[in-house]
Amino acid sequence: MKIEMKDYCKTLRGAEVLKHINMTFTSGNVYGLKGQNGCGKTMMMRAICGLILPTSGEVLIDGKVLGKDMSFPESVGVLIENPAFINAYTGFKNLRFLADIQKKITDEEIREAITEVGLDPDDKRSYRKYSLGMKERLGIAAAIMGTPELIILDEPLNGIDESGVEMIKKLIADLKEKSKLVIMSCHDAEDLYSLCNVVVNVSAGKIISTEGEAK
Amino acid sequence: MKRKTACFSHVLLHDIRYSILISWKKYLALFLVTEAIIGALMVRIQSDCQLGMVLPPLTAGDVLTYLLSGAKIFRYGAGIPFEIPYIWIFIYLMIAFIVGENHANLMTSRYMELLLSQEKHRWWASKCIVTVLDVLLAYVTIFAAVGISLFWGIKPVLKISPDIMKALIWKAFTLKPNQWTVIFVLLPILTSVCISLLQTVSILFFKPMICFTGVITLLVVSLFYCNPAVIGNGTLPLRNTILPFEGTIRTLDVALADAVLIVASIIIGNIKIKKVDLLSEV
Repeated sequence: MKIEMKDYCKTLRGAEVLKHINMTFTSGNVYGLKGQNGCGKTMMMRAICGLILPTSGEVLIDGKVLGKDMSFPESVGVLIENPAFINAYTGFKNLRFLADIQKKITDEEIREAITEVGLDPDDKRSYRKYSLGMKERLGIAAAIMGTPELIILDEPLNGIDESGVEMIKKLIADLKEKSKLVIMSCHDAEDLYSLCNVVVNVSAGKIISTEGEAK
Repeated sequence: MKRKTACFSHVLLHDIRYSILISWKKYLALFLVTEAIIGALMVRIQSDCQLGMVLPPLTAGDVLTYLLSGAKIFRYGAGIPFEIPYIWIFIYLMIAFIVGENHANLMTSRYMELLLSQEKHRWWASKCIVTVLDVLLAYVTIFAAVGISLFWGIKPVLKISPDIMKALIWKAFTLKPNQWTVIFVLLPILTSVCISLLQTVSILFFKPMICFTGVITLLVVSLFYCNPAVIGNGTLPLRNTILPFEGTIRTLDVALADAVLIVASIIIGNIKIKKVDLLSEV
């Protein structure tokens, strides 16, 4: 998969939140977006998913224009804020409920995703009883279930304990080995540099610099 | 690469299940309150009979007319007290609440559903259908409540009794079953669908609470202003010109207005969803 952002600009209520973004993302790499709060990292992620549309410029996914040739990337998993899970359902049941929209993701794949984030797929507790860290993990599991080609994770390590952080790091490394395209953001620079082979520095809606090399 | 596409039926089934999961308690509340209202009605009829009024046994038509009648015309300064239609307020508030809460997170945390649906038009079509189903299910709930109360001796016929109407709604009237069905069921359902779709499409533009408030405002304005252009009047059968309550609401006028607004809502939503930003930080 190859994602190209070409001179992408986004204005919201008179404020330029993304300015002339030019960036290429390719599979087999983990890209980290680094910058202060409000610099445009999450907006970039939303732009790549197709959740927002450009004021000017475009996003190309394997040569197809997002928003014209396709509404959304064909194979994508996203974690941007906690998804609207059903409070009365268990973690497994919530992911099953979401996955039923496509009927392509098996129970085994869901169980695998839940296990990979350190949760128990047989846990009978409902989502409303989950801690913040557990909710975050389930959100990550929703993003990775079925192993989509493009995975976007906005601050995936927030609210997760040390053992969970190590688990998520291993998960991201595995995804890279499987030649998936991962785009993530993280406040901890050390974690970001250890996980990502390309770090994109974002400030005031612009890409200031990139560090590292894509494969 | 595993190609992931979602067929429309899966998207729709997901949305229907979501709607039921989120709203089943509200439908239960609607059912129970309707049962309580029917119970209170039966007590009232019994006490009227005990006071010497000669009233026939209640029919299902009488009960449904009582539940769905709404309000007569409001005449400012006429010296005639305006009876607030609490039952009507409750029913349509519940419908607005159900629709509002089902779609509350459409533009924010339900992004995964949209991504998995893969196609915005498909997603929007499903939301419109679920909105219609929400309204229909609310009416089914009311009818089910009446159906259950037949065990208390209510006659299972849609025919309405003029004497009961005189006792409950202060004027005797009769209607043919097909007229009753149009004015008390079909037209209010159509209008309610119209209002609910307007509420749903407005969620693409404004926050859900603002949209809910907008619906409440529309219903309140409808109560006090009898005009087919104020579409809430379609849910107030007593204002229909067929009934002897000096109403000015013609069935065809309301039905046409509803149909136009329904189509407009669907089209506007379809256009908007192509351009809307989800999860906007603003």
